[in-house]
Amino acid sequence: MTGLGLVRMAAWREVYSRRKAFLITTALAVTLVVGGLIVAAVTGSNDGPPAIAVGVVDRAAVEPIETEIPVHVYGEVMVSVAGFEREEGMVLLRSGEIDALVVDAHSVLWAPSAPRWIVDTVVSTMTQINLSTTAAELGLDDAALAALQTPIVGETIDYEPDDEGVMLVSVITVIVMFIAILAYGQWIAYGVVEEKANRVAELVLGAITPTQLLTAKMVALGGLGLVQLTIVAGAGLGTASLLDQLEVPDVAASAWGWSVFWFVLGFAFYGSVYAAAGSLAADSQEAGSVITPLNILPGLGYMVGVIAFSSGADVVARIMSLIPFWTPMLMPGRVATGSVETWELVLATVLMVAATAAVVRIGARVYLGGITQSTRKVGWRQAFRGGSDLVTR
Amino acid sequence: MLSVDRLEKSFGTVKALDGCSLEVKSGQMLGLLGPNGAGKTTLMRGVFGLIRPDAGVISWNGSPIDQATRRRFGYMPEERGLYPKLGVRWQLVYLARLHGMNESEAERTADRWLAEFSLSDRASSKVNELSHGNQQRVQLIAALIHEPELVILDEPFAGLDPIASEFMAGVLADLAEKGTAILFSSHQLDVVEDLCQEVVIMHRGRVVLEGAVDELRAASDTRYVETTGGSTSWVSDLPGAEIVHRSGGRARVRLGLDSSLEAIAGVLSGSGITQFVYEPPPLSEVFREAAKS
Repeated sequence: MTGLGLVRMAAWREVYSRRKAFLITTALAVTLVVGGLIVAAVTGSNDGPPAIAVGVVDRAAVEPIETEIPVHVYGEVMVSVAGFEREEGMVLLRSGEIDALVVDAHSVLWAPSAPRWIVDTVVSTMTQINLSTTAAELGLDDAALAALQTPIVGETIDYEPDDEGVMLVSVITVIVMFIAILAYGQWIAYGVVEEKANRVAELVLGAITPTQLLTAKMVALGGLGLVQLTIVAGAGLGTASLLDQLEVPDVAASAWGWSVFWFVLGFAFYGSVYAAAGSLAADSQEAGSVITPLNILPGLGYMVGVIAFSSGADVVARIMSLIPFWTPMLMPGRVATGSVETWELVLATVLMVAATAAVVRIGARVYLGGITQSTRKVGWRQAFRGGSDLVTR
Repeated sequence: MLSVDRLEKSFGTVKALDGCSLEVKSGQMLGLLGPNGAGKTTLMRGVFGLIRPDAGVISWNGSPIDQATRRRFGYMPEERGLYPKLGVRWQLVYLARLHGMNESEAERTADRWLAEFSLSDRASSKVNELSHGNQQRVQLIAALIHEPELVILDEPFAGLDPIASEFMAGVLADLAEKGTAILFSSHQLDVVEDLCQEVVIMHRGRVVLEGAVDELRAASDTRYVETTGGSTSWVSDLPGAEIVHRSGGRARVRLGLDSSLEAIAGVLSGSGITQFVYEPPPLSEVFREAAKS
């Protein structure tokens, strides 16, 4: 069997022994994402378009006001206008059931909670109605009135920024990358611990070099991570566009493409760090004390990413996205926001590739030194030194 | 032939191997003895490239051992190593394939070994569902499944009941007969004595004694006379002789080489003894003497 064949065999074992965990976690993630989107769609539809409720004391004015209001609102709006006695209207106003009470043509009372846009809409509605009435009294017809009012020509440009969608994609990208790197990194680490603790590594290393074994683990688990990312992202995007509730921004597709790119580099980077850490522990009981502290690194990128992308404060995320520890988590989200300069992408890629090459080499050496130290716990430095013994094996 | 030549390895200030040399020929079953910390496991790990020696050479048929060569070796580590949550047959096939067998060949061989070890009905069980003895059997199959030219077993009899020990000894004897070179370590000297024609005794990283079991015993300057019936008054007639054990009508007496068999027979006659045995010390004593020196 060739070296490649050995790596393929060992990689297949990794996949085979995790098939159940993979299926369960994938099903769980898909359920969460799809379920979350459905729940969001269902509860979101109850909100509907913004509503405006106006009470009118002069019942004759109800119909003209109801007809005029939508003209003064941008976009869809639910309008309800009804006639009330003044006292009754005051009660409704105080309880917030109506936003405004039109007492007469020149006087309006506002609910304390009435937002600015409702005040503006009712004021411009009443102004227009009063103008029409006065014009009629002066004997002007509608055309003459229209001529008096200089129309403002407005046009919506083609590009419609979908800031909220972009923000959501960025935040989701950070979360997904963090979970993928953390989960699959830990799978590698604990897999290595298990092989070392029960000595099966010694049996396997009789047939396959430590470098081949490490490569098989990275390829298998990185591949599983990528497949899971694809399935979950595909299910999420598919559901969102089917439900037609959330608009899937175009940036989602490019964010996905970049996520794959950064995941491959990020997983090579973190995978070898986690494998090295796993090889240091003697058994699974003490594995946590070696592996858990490492989670701080991707965790920091996750925290900064979520805060930065949901608040729009980009400075820290911008700097951190150039540092290899956090590039895989932050860059895809930044690409989605469209705030990345080409030179930043090039620099981040160069730094990440260089750092990954270095970390893979160091990680592999520590792994060699650690995994062959039978069942003892070893330190990073000791394993690194020990690894040089076997690097040419 | 496996050849280990003046192997040295230190871990910090501890010298695990200190110029250790030995050879295992095809068809030979060599027992590796030594107290804890003698360097037996380090030596075995060295053959599998799990440590790199500071000095010395390990070769197979005169050539340095590379990965391709190592895949023709079988190994049973001291603390058993299998994937606890994978099926027995699945991982045997996997290990056979890693060692170069194709899929159908690996499956066929796995089934044959499982049948031979009466484990066919446990083929799909997970390893951690098996009893200790059965796990040990699977471990042995894992070392042998790819029909290795050299098999190295670290304490293969540890924790086995006498029946399982005998079974394992039988399997190893068969393999040696078919030409496989076998090196195994054991603390169970009676098993080693029964199984091996030759042994190597290690102490503090060196080989302190090696050779055929009978020759090593014979080379000792101690002898024993074991008598049945009669008195033990004759003991004082032989220089340096001392009673080491007495129970019922039996006595065991240690003496040096300076008393000839004729002299012994002479003092025994007339002391009412019905039967006596004159023999060199058992391997365990040779082992203890070597370790002490």
